[in-house]
Amino acid sequence: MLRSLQHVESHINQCRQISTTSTLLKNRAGKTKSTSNRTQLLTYEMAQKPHHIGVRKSWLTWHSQNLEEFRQSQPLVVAQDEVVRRFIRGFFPQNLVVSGNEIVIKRRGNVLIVAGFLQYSRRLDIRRIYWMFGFAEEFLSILLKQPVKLELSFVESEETVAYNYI
Amino acid sequence: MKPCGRLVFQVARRMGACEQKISSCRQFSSEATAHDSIKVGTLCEMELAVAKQLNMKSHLPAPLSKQMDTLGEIVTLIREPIAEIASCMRVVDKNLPNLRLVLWGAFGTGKTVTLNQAVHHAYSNKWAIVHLRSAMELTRRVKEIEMSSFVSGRINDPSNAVAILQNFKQQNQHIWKILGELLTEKDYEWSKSERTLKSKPITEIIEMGISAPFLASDCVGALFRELRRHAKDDKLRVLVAIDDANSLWGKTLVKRADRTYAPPSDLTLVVHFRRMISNDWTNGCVLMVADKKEVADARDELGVSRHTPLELFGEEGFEFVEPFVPIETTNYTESETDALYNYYVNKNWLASKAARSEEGRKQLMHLSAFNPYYYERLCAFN
Amino acid sequence: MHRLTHIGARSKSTLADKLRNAVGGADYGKSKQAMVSGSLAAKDENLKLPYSQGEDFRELYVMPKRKLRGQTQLEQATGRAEIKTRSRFDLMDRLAERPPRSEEMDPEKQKWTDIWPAARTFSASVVPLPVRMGSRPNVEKRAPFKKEGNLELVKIPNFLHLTPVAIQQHCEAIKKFCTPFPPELLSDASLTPSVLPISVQYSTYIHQGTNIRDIRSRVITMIVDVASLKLSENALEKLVRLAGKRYNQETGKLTIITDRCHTRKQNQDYAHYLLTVLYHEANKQEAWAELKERSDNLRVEFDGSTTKSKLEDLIEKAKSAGLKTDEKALAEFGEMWKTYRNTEETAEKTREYGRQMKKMLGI
Repeated sequence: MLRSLQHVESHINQCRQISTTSTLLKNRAGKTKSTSNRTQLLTYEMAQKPHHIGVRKSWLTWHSQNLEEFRQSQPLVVAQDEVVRRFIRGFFPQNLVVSGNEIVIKRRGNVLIVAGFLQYSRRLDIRRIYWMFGFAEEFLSILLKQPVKLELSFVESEETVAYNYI
Repeated sequence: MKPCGRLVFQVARRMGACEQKISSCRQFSSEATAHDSIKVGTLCEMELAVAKQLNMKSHLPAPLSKQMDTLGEIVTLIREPIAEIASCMRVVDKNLPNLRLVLWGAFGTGKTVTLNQAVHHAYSNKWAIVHLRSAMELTRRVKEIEMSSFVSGRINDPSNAVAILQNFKQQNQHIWKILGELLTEKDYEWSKSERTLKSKPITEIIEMGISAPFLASDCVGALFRELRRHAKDDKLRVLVAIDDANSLWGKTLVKRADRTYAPPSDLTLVVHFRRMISNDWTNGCVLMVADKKEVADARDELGVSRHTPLELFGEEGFEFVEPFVPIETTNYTESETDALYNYYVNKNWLASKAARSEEGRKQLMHLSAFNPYYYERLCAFN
Repeated sequence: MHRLTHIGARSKSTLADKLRNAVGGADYGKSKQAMVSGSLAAKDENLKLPYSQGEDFRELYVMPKRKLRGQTQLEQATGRAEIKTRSRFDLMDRLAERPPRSEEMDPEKQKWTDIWPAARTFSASVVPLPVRMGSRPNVEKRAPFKKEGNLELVKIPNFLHLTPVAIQQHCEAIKKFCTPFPPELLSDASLTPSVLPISVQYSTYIHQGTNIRDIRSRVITMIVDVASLKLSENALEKLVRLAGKRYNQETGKLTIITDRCHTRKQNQDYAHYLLTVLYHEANKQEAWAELKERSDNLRVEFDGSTTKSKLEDLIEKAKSAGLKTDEKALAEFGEMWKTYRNTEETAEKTREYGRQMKKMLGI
């Protein structure tokens, strides 16, 4: 037995070894892992896989800069989107729904419209919210040099936007 | 593409069996031509011996000449165009300037075959035949050139000229004696040493040309001139049959000394043939085929060229050829396909069972879209 | 403000009294000196004397107005702690919550155009329709996602601001600035070229983004109906030659496209200038125009052609040869020949040519 094992070892050392882990070789973007007690909340957005974009769910930003004639201005728009999203995420820290994923950015002519959902589960402070809205609009307009309108609406809690739990 | 095949009915070989099977609308070719009315839609045969003399093997389109070898007979369908040509040929008169007919039509509808049928018709009526296999050979397949000593600037083509003379000799064997009686009108000085004297039979010109290639082009010109003269004098009737005639005004691949392409009017043979086409002689018939080969470009994937005469001849050619009678060749009708189908079935050419069924008959007809060339090709593979 | 009222409420608490009593009676918290002295007059007398004999040291005991730590610990340990619920800081806002607007709307008293006057993202509380959007694996079992919190409804553009009533209102508002369409042109569209021979086309481009300019907006297309210029035969031919590809034979229109200048107005002026120049140049007759030959013609004419002479010759000879020729057909043939040579050649036209030729020559 030992002798045969020895031979085996030498054989193993001699030949090259390639290992492929098949379980790692798959796409994981946009797919949330299920929990055992079904506590993971899924919004409609999250529930559909990424290949359903355009089929079952549509885009989170709407602009025409992906067309052929607008190649020059496309990166600007992408950067603007990112700026807006980060700002909203940082400015309304307690009010976000699902870490700020439920924001839709639309562009209509020169105007940039930020729509979506924020929650007031922990603090509902109407005057404060109005002030923050005004500040955000003003700030973003000056930053992006375009009129920015916030059309965010509030939901009671995250459960309102839940599609299912996995 | 010669769907209309000429049936050569060898009576000696297959008497009984064939007679019963073959439809009654077959005719002997000699009967047909002697008779005034040719029945359209019938299958007409040409004897092999005649075919050999008329050099049909090289003049017919390739698939049909291969079929000739395989089946051992040439059978073609008599269709409207040949009937029209026959009636035009009957009208030819010594006072009437030569009648010009242009065969035009889409790909594979039977232009070349009709031309050959007309040549056969002329043969049986004892006409003189000037048959050119393809004018494209004169302009594009020139192997070697010589500058003409007769007219400066003209380019001679010895190999093609010799081929033309040989072809003429072979095709006109049936009237060779008559040709032998026709005499030249003047002295022809070919070169310093060679000459043909006045009042010698014109067959001598032909012999001279065949033996001396470098004189052949001029001989061709002289021969044509003599033919025209004698036709005017009503000694004989001439049929000039030129396939791909629109190439006489088309593109050349002959390069001059300064490396530019020569226009067709610089080639002697082209000039001679143009003279034959021109209107100034009588008692003859000029049959031309306008073929798309000249203008079609294999590399042009999107463009589709027209097959109508004005487009193919070009303005210059068109004005030269006018006034002419255009004769169109079209796709088959159902009865024509039926006749051909029965012939193929009788000859066991359609081998598979599926092809021999009624279903198969209809499928063959429709798959080929009634185009004669494609019909023949389909039948060959089924 | 509510804060003040809270303070007031606290001070009226009964427990403070109780503790006070428990520690030192009703007069606890008041200065001992005042208690001992009695009246104010007596107080004054005693002021000279800092300290009267026979009295204890009066300790000053300041009692805070709250439960002492010991007390609270006791209560907590025994479990009798009165848990003070703090009302939420946002309570008033929460109390002020109203039902969604869609429930309070009254179709008789309000107009939808006032509620949704301009394009706006979907707001579930305002739109009174029971809309659902979203895909489900089995629609029978579970209906699509409701409208509250539905991001898909927010993403899509809605046209709630363009109800037929709204559009009608817009039209009514604009109507007073419009003039009616000429009824003569409505009835007979073919009059348009003669009444309005020039049409100028240009485009305006709207962009999403900070830049409102587009270079394509300066292009001008001017389409002129040439027949309305009323040119003579020679002038028309000269114009056609000068215009080249800009002239469309079939429709008889001259199209001038300019984008040479920087602004739209400049391009428009330039197009007008070009038209003027063309017109005047066409009307000029030059001396060298006399040298025009048959081969310079734009179209091939039958009358001077070699074909005609050859045909006449042929007909004569055919007649003498005994064919049944038809001379009158020559004019008809000429017409057909002209169309055959000058227009697009088709198989049908070639067949027509053949028929006429045969008829003429009597074959």
